[in-house]
Amino acid sequence: MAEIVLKNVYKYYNDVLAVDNLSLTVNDHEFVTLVGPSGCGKTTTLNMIAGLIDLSDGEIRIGGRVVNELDPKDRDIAMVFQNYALYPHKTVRQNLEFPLRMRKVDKAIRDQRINRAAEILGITNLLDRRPKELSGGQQQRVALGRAIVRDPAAFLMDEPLSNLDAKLRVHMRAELKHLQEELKATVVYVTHDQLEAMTMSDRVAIMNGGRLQQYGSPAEVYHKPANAFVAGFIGSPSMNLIPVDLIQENGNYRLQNESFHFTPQSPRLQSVLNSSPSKNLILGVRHTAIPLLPATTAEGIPAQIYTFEPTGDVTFVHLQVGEQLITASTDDPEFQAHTGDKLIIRFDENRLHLFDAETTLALTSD
Amino acid sequence: MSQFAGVSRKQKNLINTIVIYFFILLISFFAACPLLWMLSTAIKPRDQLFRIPPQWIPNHPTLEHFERVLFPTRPNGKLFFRYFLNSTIVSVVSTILSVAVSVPAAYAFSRFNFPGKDVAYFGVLARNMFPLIVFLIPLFILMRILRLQDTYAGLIIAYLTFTLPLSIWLLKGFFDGIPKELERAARIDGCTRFGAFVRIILPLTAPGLAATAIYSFILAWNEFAYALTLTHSTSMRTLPVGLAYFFTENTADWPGLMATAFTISVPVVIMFLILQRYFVAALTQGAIKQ
Repeated sequence: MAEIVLKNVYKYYNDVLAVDNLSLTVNDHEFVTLVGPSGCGKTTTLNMIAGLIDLSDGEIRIGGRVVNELDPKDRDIAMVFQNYALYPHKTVRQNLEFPLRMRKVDKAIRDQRINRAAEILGITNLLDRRPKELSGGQQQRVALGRAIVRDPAAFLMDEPLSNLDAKLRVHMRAELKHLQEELKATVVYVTHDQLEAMTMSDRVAIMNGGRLQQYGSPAEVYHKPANAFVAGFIGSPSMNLIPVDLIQENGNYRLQNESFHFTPQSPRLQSVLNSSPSKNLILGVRHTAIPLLPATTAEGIPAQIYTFEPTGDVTFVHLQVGEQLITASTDDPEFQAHTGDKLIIRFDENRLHLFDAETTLALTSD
Repeated sequence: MSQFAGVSRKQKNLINTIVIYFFILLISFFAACPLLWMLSTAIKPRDQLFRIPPQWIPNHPTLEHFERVLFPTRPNGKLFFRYFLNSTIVSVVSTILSVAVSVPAAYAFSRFNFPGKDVAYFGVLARNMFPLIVFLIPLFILMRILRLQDTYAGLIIAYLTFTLPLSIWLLKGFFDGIPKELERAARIDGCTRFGAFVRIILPLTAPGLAATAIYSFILAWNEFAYALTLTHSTSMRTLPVGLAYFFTENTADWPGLMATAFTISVPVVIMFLILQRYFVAALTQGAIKQ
């Protein structure tokens, strides 16, 4: 296993900048996910690490050595593709064998590695079948097996779970994570699904428009998003992002727009607002941080239920606040929701986020 | 109150099947008829040729016509042997060269981007759109300039002008049908680009490659206009041209003509029958579904 270092990596396709000055390090034995919407540059980045496409500028190191000029086969990496890319004219055993034969590994060692991989993945009984005789989940495990037999420095995975049905996907998420821990593998994983990124990774690299937005642990990117994009991308349902103006009144800071106004009470927030360079802000609050109170409550923001989604344990409540639509949630089984009901809502000030409307960066107190 | 309206599903299917098979037999007979009559005439003794009513199977079938026109010891047979040799050399060499060039070319068109790619491919397609006869005079003049008239090389080059574009176009379709991820996986598994091509792509497209090669061969084998124009000596003639001369010089020798024609057609028909599965694949869609 080895660490992977990207330093100031750029990729141009004619005039389009697909990857913009990307620098990050994947530590040895770490599971890192590149996540972002379609076209954000995550697959391009993965392909550059693999050596399938050239860099326009910058440097990539694997295990300490610069690999920019190296062919994919010389980089000691293994890749798992979204559509598995199994060799259709070969049996499962031959598929698993192929990378080892290419490296002229002894038959004895080949067989040992194949059997071990097959056992780990539970495909020993499939070794003599051909890919088209296998289900999607089985094919995916063969693709993984083909990567495992290599015992490479790093695994690169390009949306390997996207072609599986929902239930199998959830199961394989756990399996993959377990596998990575067992093999102590270094994994770079690409997906557009933020839930996959959050549940499987040691660290998450969120990308948008070719640029790295934030790189941190799942807890970090969830609780401390660096900008409004990350805040809105991670977590489902998305964090509510509400444009507000910063008003100073009698030494107190207040946030307001045409739908509501809100005066933070905590000294921490007041201090953050104090050091804000801009008067146009974005207020970020997750559905879990909005307590729902009866309409008779004295203090708070008036809201009306627009619609609601019961999911069993949690009910998502979409609220009309003036012109604004805000998503809240409750896990109270006694809560009775009806469209049109009036409520009072508050914001949990410990879990409030503020972003500069122009730079979209998170405000912090300094 | 409900009437049992008309025919049942089962009966409808049966009627459908009968009608379809009737038409299939009709068309097959229509296609096979000339060949069968050709064979029938070739084994008829001369005096039976123009009997009324026409006879399919002669009373005393004979192989004397085959012997007369085909055996190398006979004068006609010598000629036939020469023509056969010429056809074989020209067709085989042009097919080999065609495959050797069109396979890498089609792969390049399918997988790579390079300057002039669009123009080059348009050239390939454009050539396919014109009937061969359009290029007859220009090719004749060209061979004269190159001093390749009446040579194997001249004819082979002329044949390449249509086998190459056709093969490139067909093969590109096959290569396009293979997902790029397969080569990527192979390159990560340890192959060079070329290695991935040879070990993964070629085995998967082998049926299509074979069909394309054989189709090119048949086009070359049956080709008449270029062979007639670009060669003039008897020793360079190919089978189709030889057959035409045979006809003009021996108008009365119907059985001989039929024997020769039958012999020339048989290899092609047999090849088609054996390989028709691959031909259908070659001419309709790509080679492999993922």
